Amino acid sequence: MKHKAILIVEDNHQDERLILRALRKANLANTIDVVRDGQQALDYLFAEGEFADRATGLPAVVLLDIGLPRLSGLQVLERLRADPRTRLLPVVILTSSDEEQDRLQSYQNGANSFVRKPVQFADLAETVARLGIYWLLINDPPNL
Amino acid sequence: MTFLTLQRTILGPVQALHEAALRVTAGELEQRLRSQRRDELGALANAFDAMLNRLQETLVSRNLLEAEMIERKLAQAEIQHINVDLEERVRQRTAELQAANLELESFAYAVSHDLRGPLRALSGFSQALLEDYGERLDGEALDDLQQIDIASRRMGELIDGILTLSRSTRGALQRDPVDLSALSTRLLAQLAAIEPQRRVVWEVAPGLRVLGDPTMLEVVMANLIDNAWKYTGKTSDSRIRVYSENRDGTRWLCVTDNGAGFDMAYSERLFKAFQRLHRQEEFPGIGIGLATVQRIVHRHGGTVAAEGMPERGATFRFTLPEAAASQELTKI
Repeated sequence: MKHKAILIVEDNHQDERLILRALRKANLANTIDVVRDGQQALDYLFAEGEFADRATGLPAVVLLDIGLPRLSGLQVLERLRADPRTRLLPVVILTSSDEEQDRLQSYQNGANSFVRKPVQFADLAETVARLGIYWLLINDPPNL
Repeated sequence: MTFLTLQRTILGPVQALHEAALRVTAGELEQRLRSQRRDELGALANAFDAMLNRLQETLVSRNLLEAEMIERKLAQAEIQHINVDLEERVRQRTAELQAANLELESFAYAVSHDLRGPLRALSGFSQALLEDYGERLDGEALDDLQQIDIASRRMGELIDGILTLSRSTRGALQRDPVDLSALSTRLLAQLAAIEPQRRVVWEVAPGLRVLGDPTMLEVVMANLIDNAWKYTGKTSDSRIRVYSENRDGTRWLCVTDNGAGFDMAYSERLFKAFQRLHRQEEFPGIGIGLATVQRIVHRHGGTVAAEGMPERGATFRFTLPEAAASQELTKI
């Protein structure tokens, strides 16, 4: 089944509010879920643990932070790519980092995009809105 | 009688000589016969004494030699010990410096991650306030909100500046041929394309070839040329020149302009991070460019210098020692 949604993996509550606000302003807020650490993200996507009774189906895109409690974003990405169910799931790294090593590691681990969170809200809002529009409306994902 | 005489005058002294010789064999070198006789036996005894003298002297100098050899061996061992010690200390200091460097890098990394978050919140929520409640706020309140936004933008730039500076000399130093003429021409053409309304006469001397790290040298030239471009922004007939000149047998690479310049009294602050000689309203900036230039040139083993006069322009120059070209200045 096609489950048009965005999964946001973000441990910073303020960033979460700002990202949600930006998506709301772009009228993309209808099917968004938020989890707050790496393990939760895996549980959500594999419908395990606290998400064991979640209706199956994967989001259209995962917006994944790198610095996360428990499992880091890069570790989450590694696990997702190792599992046939999520091997092709579109994942966008959305992070404060502009470190070359993070960028390289993200792509090496199979990220579909690496996007830096701008500091200015106007820029952040535009970036997030564009990401939402691109991955929800423009991109044609594989059937997972 | 004859026998007695024979014994007293000849056999006695011979016996004494014989006994003395036996004692010498046993190692007793201090004895002397000190014969008073004037005949052959006396001469023999004197020769014996002389031989003992020489023997003693030889022994003393041999002992001296042996003592000296032992002393030398000890000194050699000491030198070896000191060398080992020195190597160990160098290793230790290098390890310490490397650790400090890594710590600085992870500090910069933490800065990049952890300081930007709160900043984003400051900018974001003040913007949200503006969007959602702006109509109910009066002019002063709106301006206050604007100030939060300006401050967060500024702090974002400062954080980026810290990162730029700390990254500017990261990694192994390459020593490749770099054509500073081509590089400068490209950088100036880029600036001219971005601001086509500016009328700047620029001149780049041909053949400015140096050995250095291409990425780092591009940062150096970009900063110097950007500065020249920026500080001639209020000059009517702007001129920028990139060239090299010899001073005291050293080749200096120079970027000179006829712009705002600076007062030499403050020149020592020029190369310090976040120090600026111009007000933000005159010429915006965060004061990281020349600090970066200096760091990179120092990493190459070179020197930077600046000359200027208010409203008359500035010249920034640096050296890149050719001698150091072969020796890799590894990062410690």
